[in-house]
Amino acid sequence: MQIKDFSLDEFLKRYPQVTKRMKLLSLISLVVIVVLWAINEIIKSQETFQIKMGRTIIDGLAFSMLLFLMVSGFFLIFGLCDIVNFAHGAFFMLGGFLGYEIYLATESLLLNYSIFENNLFVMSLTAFIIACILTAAVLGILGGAIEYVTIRRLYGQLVGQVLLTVGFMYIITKFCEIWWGSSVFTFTIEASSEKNYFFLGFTDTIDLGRGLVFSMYRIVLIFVGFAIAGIMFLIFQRTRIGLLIQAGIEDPEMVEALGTNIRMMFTFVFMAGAALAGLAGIVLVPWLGANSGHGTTYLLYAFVIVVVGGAHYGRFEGTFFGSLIVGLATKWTEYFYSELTGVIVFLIMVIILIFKPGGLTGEA
Amino acid sequence: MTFKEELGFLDRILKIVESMLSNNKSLIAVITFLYVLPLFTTTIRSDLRSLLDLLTFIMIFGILALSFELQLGRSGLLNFGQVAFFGVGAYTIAYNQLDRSVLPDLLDDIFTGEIIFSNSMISPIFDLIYSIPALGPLIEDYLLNTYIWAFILAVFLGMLLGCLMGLTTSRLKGTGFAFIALAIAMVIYNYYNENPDISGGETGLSIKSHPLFKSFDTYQYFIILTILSFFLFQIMIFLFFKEKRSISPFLFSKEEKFQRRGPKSNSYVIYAMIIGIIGLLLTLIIPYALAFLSKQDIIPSELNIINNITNMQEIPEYENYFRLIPNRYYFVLSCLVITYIFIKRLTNSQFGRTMAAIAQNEDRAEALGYNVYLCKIIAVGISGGIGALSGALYITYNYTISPENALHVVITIEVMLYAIVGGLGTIFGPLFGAGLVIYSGFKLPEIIDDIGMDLNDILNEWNDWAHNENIPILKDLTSILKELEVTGEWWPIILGIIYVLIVLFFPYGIIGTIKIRSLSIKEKLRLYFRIRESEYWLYALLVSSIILLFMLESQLSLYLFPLVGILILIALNFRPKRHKI
Repeated sequence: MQIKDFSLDEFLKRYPQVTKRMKLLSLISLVVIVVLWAINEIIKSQETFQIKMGRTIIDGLAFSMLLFLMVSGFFLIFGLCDIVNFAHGAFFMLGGFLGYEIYLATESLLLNYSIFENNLFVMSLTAFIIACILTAAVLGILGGAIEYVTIRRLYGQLVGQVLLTVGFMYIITKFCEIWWGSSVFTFTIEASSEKNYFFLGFTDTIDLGRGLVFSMYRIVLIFVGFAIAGIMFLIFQRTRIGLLIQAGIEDPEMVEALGTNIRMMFTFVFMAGAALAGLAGIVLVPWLGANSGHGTTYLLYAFVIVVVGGAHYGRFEGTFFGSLIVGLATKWTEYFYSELTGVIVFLIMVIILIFKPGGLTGEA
Repeated sequence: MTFKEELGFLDRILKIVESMLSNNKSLIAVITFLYVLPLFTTTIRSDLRSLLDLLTFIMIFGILALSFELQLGRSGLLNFGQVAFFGVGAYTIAYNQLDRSVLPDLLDDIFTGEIIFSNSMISPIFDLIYSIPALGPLIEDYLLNTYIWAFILAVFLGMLLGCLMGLTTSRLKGTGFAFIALAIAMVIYNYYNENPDISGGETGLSIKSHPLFKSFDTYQYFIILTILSFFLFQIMIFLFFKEKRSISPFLFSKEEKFQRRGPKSNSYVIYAMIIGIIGLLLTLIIPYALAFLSKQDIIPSELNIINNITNMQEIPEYENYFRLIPNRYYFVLSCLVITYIFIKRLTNSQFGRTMAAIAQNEDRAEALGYNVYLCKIIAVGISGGIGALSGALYITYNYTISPENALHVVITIEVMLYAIVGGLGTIFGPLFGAGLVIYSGFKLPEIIDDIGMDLNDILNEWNDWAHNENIPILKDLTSILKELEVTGEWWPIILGIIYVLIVLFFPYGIIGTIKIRSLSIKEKLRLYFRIRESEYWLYALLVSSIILLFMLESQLSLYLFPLVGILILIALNFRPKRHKI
């Protein structure tokens, strides 16, 4: 009888299930190490951890809802029309400034005619809602006009589109810089009131104990954001135009062949995208204010989220989850590892693109 | 039996030089023009001096635009992270010049010759080289200089980063690649922005001008380069006249009659010598003639080249030295010329055609057996090297470098604009675009200021009129319009409008559109203006001198415009006579 030398390679070749289990084991051990480290961290600083985590969740959710509002417009334009809209950040910024002006005008009008008398909260809420609607309408008309007059001629020409949208970005950004300057404009929705509304007495802030104090606006923003996302999902799933847009993202030529005026749809989508950008712009104002520097910053967020969510043939859900990931991750690093704040977003993008080149829902 | 002519080695080289000269007339004319230009700078601050600064700036960003165009125009890769290359180049030079040296001390020792000369095996060779009078200092000052090697290192690092970006092209196509390149650039930017101790923070790292750019010796070497280019220019003109005249056996001959007589050894060399002697004489005569004329007050003293050059030697130390000797301009120009020729050779090579095939249809290129992936990596790598070169040159221009001015994504967008406005698919386009956009950035504010003043006057009149006539709507309107106050800071808005108009009317960029219609344009020029393709260099020279005069807005134009007119007349009347066969 011959005794063979033991060889690890041959042994592994003969029993492939061992390799499989070893892989699983190494993965599990990695996860266990990470979890143990996390638990260690938590135990070390339980109090601060909870506070930081609470802030991360609330701020992150609010921030991701805001991002979702803006990026959904960018996604619509990018997905359906296949245009990298560099002017989207500028629309967002213009929305903030316009919303600020309209809010002030409406407020003074309402105060002049004293419609709500002493109920300042309802007064300022009404003014805010009116400002939101008007801003979205104005931006929608602006976006539609830009599409109808210029971009319409350039479908299929990547270079021309880039130059054109950058041109509009320049025009709008510099106009805002000249008109409003470089300072931050903000207003607050009047919180104090004699009556209690809904489920809460509206106060400036909400205290969840342990030093977790949030402004009410952010929590409302979370709910509003989820509600708007829900409405949009319904539109995409149930209405004809939503289904057409989804089909157009998948295969525009087939949609056109089946008798839809896809050019009309492009204009409509451009209007909707610009309107959403404007809406997001004014929603940001009571929280972070309107500033002429916001254009570029949020444009980069839009790039990242659309790529994470699925750029080509992507679906709407991808953008939603992409903005959730990006918003939460940004706030998480802000509270835990502040030196990584600027980098984390792009790291996420790189990681997701390496493992799923088409993004979360798209195809490579 | 046919006799095949065999040329000697020197003759073959001369023949290649001849064909290169006669095929690139406009290029040589413009390069010579740019090289000769700084000879007219005086030690006193003149308009030309600030113009040279502006030209340096334009050329630096022109190189960056060229590297962007190499990706988008030639290989169809849209790269939003172009600025990363720029920043890598700039920071490499900055680190090398500051305390934290990128090139370590060991390398320093090698370059300054300590290690080489301690090695007894190599030292005799170096002694020999050093014994040659001109070569020794040249090697010591320039070839063994860490500053020059830092440029090469910067280009190398840029290529490395480019290859890294190129690796991602295997998985990501189209906009996906653009975004991941953006991500890489933004990671670098954010990292530098949040670590002020390596990046210099908001104030940035400030770097002193290198002694190389201050020294008169360097200037002399560049003047030798200028003379060389002028020499080439003269030979080109000789060839041009020969072509026009079709006199067969005078200069480098290609006539059949001549060749049938059999091999003529050294014929090329003899002709080259004749031309060389004439050229040398002209090169010597022209400066002295200019000096003589300017001493007689016939032409302005700025044209006295010899005086200008010798005056450079006597500039005192405390003066703003780097502004006075145009070394920097020459250095950037030389880099630009090298880059231009390199890209031109590259796009006409086998590799360049493969890139074009990939840009047109990637799947087809892959099916035909080309290694698409490797080709893309190399393309991005080369482009990265060129981008890093431009960043390295930028630091010789700006002296302070911060994440905002070397790594911010806005630079990518600007460069994209330069390349697209000029026209993709052309080499001259990005340079032209950079020049146009940067110059209009300098010039538009003044123009808009003037227009704004006029507008304000008109509005004031209207306002008075409306108040006098008491028309309420007009009163409000004019007062609102008066608040606008169109001033110079409105120029980006005007620039944006110009971009939009360019896209709508020149969808392929300015030079790109001209290139697409080049056949019909050439035909029209030939028919209506009697301008042949071989004469384009003359008009290139004319156009560049007119642009220069326009940019200078100087009194010089009074003297030069008649000269330009005479040249045009000569060109129009100089027609080849028909042969009688």
